[in-house]
Amino acid sequence: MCNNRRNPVNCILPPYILEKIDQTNNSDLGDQIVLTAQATARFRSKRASLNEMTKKGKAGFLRTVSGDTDLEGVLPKPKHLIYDAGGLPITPGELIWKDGDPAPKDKDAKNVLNGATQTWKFYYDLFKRNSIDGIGMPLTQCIHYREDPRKPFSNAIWDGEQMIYGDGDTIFFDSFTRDIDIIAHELTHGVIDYSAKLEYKFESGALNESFADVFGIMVKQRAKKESVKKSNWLIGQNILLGDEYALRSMKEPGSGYKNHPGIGDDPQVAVMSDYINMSQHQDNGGVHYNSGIPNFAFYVAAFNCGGNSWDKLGKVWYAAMTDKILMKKNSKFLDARNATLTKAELLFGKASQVYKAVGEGWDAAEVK
Amino acid sequence: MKIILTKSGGLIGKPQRAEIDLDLTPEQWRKMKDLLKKKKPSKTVADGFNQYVEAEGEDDTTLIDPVNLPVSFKEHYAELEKKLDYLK
Ligand SMILES: [Zn+2]
Repeated sequence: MCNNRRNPVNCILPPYILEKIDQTNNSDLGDQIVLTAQATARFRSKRASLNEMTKKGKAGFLRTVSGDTDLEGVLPKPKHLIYDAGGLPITPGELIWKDGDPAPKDKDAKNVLNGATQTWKFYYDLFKRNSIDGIGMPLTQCIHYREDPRKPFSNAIWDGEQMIYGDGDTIFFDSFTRDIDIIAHELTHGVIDYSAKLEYKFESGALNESFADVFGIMVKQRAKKESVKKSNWLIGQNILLGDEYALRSMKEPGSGYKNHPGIGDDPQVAVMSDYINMSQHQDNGGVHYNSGIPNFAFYVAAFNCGGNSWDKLGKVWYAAMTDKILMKKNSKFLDARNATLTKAELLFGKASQVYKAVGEGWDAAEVK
Repeated sequence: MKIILTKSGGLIGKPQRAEIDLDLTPEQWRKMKDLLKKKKPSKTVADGFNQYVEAEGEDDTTLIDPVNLPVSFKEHYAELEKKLDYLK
């Protein structure tokens, strides 16, 4: 995986240039090229961000605080930075849109701007959370990214600082900016980094994945004004080409796609007795397989609550996800059950329908 | 010796796999794996890919860094990468 903070050289120089350096067998020359390219790319990227902040003067993110207003009593707004990697393994790439610019022309830029705005509004309107870190972090998004310039990138990632999207291969996958729930999913990975910090492996990793899907689906439902009964509970419906396919189903994990010509059958599981033990090298211990279990628990709980998922259950799941005592880096599904029940009781009372529904959800997923 | 490359993870989660036959002794493969082994643990990237290799029938898998491969494996990797296909 290409990540400029983890391995700047790999991300800034495309493989074909690295091959050339390799062929020269001149390590000094290679190092020089690498360091120059690395420094140049870093400088360009930092300069673009700093210019942007300087232009805004004191209205930059440093003054924004968590809560209803910033220091001057102005309501916080999301801060966007959209970059174009230009089909290269470079992050973030060239800055193509910032707040105050005319509407972006690039359709992927439009998609990520809308998706991140809706997600920011979701977290702020409902929980007064100002951005990923709670203190106004700019929403940095990189589109048209490729790990290898010769091959399309069919993926979307959160790399710890930004959301990165590929264009898809156009055969089986469309652009990974096409689903608002995917944009909200990636942004929520960022929120988790600043809250529960769930380790991205095995059961805690599957919980991390599930929280990202849960908030992804709620952002989509709220944007589309869909109740729990109206929603189809599908994640990534537009990314996977073909009307009958989606990446995942929260209502019926394992039914997102069947007999797909490219990727076969959806392997997700819905209940604890079907939990799949995998090695850490395999999908970080099956994080995208076993996330179906807490996803299903949320679906059942939301369905049994009725109405809009975000009105009641969203508050419970958010309170649990951001409680650093109840949810820790190595938390398991059972910890999530206990955390959500604790929050449901605190927010709505033990005799409430919400508390009952939360228990029913986890029971249905066999997490007890 | 059959060498298998697996690309796992990603937002989709489904593994992609490819295999090639290489004329290597178990000792040569053991040495190759030492060279291939990822040197530094990766920083976690949510929905990122992992790539690992194994010989057919082998118990352990070796996580690799595709952009820092030993020169002796680059050609084999290019061939494997071309053949990657999702496990259905
Ligand atoms: Zn994810």
